[in-house]
Amino acid sequence: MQKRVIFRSAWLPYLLLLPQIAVTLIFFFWPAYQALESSFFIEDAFGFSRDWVGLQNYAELFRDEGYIRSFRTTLVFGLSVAALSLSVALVLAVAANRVLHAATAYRTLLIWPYAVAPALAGVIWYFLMNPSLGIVAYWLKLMGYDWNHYVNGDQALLMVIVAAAWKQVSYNFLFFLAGLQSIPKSMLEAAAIDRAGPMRRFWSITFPLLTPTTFFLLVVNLVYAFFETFSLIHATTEGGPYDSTSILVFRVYNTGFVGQDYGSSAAQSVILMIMVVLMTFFQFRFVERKVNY
Amino acid sequence: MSVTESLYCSARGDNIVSYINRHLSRRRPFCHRAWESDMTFKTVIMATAMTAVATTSAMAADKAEVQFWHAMGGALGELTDKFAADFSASSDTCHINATYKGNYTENMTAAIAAFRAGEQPHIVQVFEVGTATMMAAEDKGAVYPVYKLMKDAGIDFDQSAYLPAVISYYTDTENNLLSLPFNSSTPVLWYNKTALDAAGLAVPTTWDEVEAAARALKANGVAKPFSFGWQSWTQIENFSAWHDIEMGTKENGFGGLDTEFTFNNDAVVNHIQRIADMGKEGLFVYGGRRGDSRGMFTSGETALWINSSAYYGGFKKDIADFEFGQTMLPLDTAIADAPQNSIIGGATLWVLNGHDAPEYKCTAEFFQYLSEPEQQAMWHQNTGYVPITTAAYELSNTQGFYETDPGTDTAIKELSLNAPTPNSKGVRFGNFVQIRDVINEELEAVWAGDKDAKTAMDTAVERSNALLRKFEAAN
Amino acid sequence: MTGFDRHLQTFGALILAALWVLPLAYAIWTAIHPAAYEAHFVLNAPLTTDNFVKAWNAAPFARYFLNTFVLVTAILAAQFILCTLAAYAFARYRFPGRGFLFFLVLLQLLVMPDILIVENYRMIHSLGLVDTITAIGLPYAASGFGIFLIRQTFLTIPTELDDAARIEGAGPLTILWRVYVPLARPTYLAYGLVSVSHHWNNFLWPLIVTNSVETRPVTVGLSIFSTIDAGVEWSVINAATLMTSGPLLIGFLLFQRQFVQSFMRAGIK
Repeated sequence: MQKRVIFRSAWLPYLLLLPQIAVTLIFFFWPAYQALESSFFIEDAFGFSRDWVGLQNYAELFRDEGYIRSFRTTLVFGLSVAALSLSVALVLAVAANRVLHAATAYRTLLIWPYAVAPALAGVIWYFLMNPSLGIVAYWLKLMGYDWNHYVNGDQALLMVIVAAAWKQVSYNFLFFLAGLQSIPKSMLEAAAIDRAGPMRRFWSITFPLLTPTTFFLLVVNLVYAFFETFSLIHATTEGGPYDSTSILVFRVYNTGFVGQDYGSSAAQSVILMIMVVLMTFFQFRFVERKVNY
Repeated sequence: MSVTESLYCSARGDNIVSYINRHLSRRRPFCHRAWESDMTFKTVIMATAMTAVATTSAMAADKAEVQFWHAMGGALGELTDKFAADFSASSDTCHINATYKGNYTENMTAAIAAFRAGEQPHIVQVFEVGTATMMAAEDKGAVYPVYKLMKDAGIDFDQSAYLPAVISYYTDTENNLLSLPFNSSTPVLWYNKTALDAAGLAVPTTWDEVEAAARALKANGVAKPFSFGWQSWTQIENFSAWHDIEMGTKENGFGGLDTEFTFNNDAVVNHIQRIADMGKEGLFVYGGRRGDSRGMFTSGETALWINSSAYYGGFKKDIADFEFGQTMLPLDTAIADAPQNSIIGGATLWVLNGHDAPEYKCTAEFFQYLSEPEQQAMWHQNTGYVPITTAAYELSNTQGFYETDPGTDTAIKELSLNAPTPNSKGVRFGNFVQIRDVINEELEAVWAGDKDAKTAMDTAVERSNALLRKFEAAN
Repeated sequence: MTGFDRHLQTFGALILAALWVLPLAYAIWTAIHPAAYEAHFVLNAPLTTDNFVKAWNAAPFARYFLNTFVLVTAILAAQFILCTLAAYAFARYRFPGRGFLFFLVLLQLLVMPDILIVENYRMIHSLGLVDTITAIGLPYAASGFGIFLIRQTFLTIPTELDDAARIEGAGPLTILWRVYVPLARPTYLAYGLVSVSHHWNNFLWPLIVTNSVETRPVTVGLSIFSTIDAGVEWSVINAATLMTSGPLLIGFLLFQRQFVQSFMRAGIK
């Protein structure tokens, strides 16, 4: 009998992986390879002519100030979405954990936004914040604050951050709530006997126990903010005003599908891929070391 | 109605599908429901449905199938589908299969992806800014030009029956029509008559009057007197054509891919600066890139609004609180003594190569059907898009449409004001979708007060020229 | 902590929660009232179902719902099977190329499949699958995210359970099915939530690869509402939003209790 549970078989693991590998080869690696290849070409939309240009598509991107600014915008956007949705979800989950009797109705309401399609979430927020028709813009005006995200870039960025975070809070909330409910009551009671205040108890006992959940959610939220928000931006600000909400993935979409410029779009995807591979590699290394599974 | 509905449904030739369908719902969920709100449309549809039942069900199988991908959602989509269904019902040999493929961008992406896989539709609707891309594809054999399609199908095709300002946007240098205009509009000045009357103002005809009127309106309590949508199209492309100044060299790009932009000229720069100054005074409020500012006009916050004539149908339905009207674009008297003509926007139908002759014959017949005065007049009157032939305009006139709906001929009048010059035929620039985004960005920097008009237009020209060079290299 | 403090905190959290659902509450308000009451909140505003009727009739939604349901179910089933097998191999086997293959899985986690639309369309065409529900789902059958999640859970399962099962003569696949899968249930639920919500709402790829009513999902039907230009009716859009997210919400609610409970039992790691 082996000591560690690691099975040995010459063929079984490959057989287990075969379906997965077949699908990814056909629908991921082959097309991804072609995307990589086309980033070194300039081609017309219909694919008649294809000229090798080496690194020109990349060079053009890095000469473009707008593209460089986009990195900053993306970073601000991604981190803000993750921070906002995680912190709001945590507060809501802590509250739900306390008042268990009302929790069902409460949970029901909070999970709803997750069911709404990203583009439609964009439309709802677009409507709420519309400077002339939107109810929130109207309230802000009553409070003496002039809201017009069509002109003010910071307001526009704030709007898409809130809209993106809004949808994600539901998911985070569920995970935090489940995490909180799995913390043994006895631990908290013991701390209470030691006269530790509620804030102290939260930060010294509850939060550390939630760390694995938090790290997991951080990864999920960042992937969401970086990759799945382009339809939201497309439906609301179209990257504007100026280029204040133009995040990297929106640019990929805009260059490729709206502009039919596949070479540059492919180059942008490749840059995005490299960036995220590095980031995730670092993150997982950090998470796996720091958090004990 | 329900009997007709189910008949109509089964006439479409779905067998298993309509079976499931009947079990799913008592309604006819597969067939698009027609204009709920409008009884006359309903009658039209019913009549059509009857004909469809009578003619299509038996012969659908032997008909040549033509795939038609369009980008018309909502009521426009229903009208478009109806054209296809009506034509199919009236023809013994053809069946047009109309499919909604998302908005303009998505529709074009879908068609291109399909073309690259060899599965392209026969007809694809492409917006006007995609013209240069499609023309480049025509050179390489992807596109079947309309004039040739008609000739090969043996159809007597008289190009002079079409409104020159509408088709000039889509002709080659020998004046041959490449794609069939389907939905075309042009910018007009929409005004809130009630608000103008209340301030004792006449409808402005020049930019000086617009500015003065905006000031008076503001004093009279109109919060955001002046605004517009689709700013590149209305304030740069059309502003240039209207005053007969070029936007780019080589006849606005008609003469070759080596064109360069010149819209950082004094006329345009001064115009943009004027609007920016109006903004500082609170007379102009920017309301978004597309038609987002429509709500400002319908809610009465804005009394002067420049945007497409195609808003007419919606305005007629939505605006109840005040009287509205449309008039020709204002003139900048510092640039010209009289307006030239405006240019169109909208979309045309392109035919893609790679299918069989009988199907192309059907395509040609369908195009002929779409161009007939009856169809054109109906489309024009219900949507606010301009008719593409002189005959359809005259038919609408004799039907009394311009009397019952005054102002609806503004668009046609603007387009046919004068014979188009090289500056007012239209624009044909590669990568124009991205170029419009560049212009949007730079103009937004002006509206926010971050740049002055001159700096912004210079940067816009520089960035746009780089995109033109890239398109030239790719094609 | 005093009772007052406690109530104050609860109250604060409720306010925050209320704020968070406000956009939806507002969507509900506009959906069940005539357009005239869009920004006019009075208690005696007349209720109407017109907006829902209008939305429902704007496209063949009954069929679209059926298509979407078939689609998300098929994708979820395929993902569960493929991911479970792969995750098991990664968690419990040592084999040449393991590290490299796992790296490839992680790579897939990070790329938006929408970028690859043109190439994928060509592939679907050469498989003869254009305009089928299979075509919408197939590229998503393999999921790097799913493998990653499930592998993490499998790694935490105590090895004694394996040993016990093996002594009883169970083969590797039996052990996977009888020991691993049941213990990883919360992970499956957590992943299912992400997957279902994503594919229920996916739009671009289904739009491009399908042409007919018989294959198109709900989102494609919805897209005819989101043309801001044509003079949108917010009340109808909101009704359509509620209508299409409704079934998904009900599904979530049915599962969420189970989800939280199984979490508590197993503890997500």
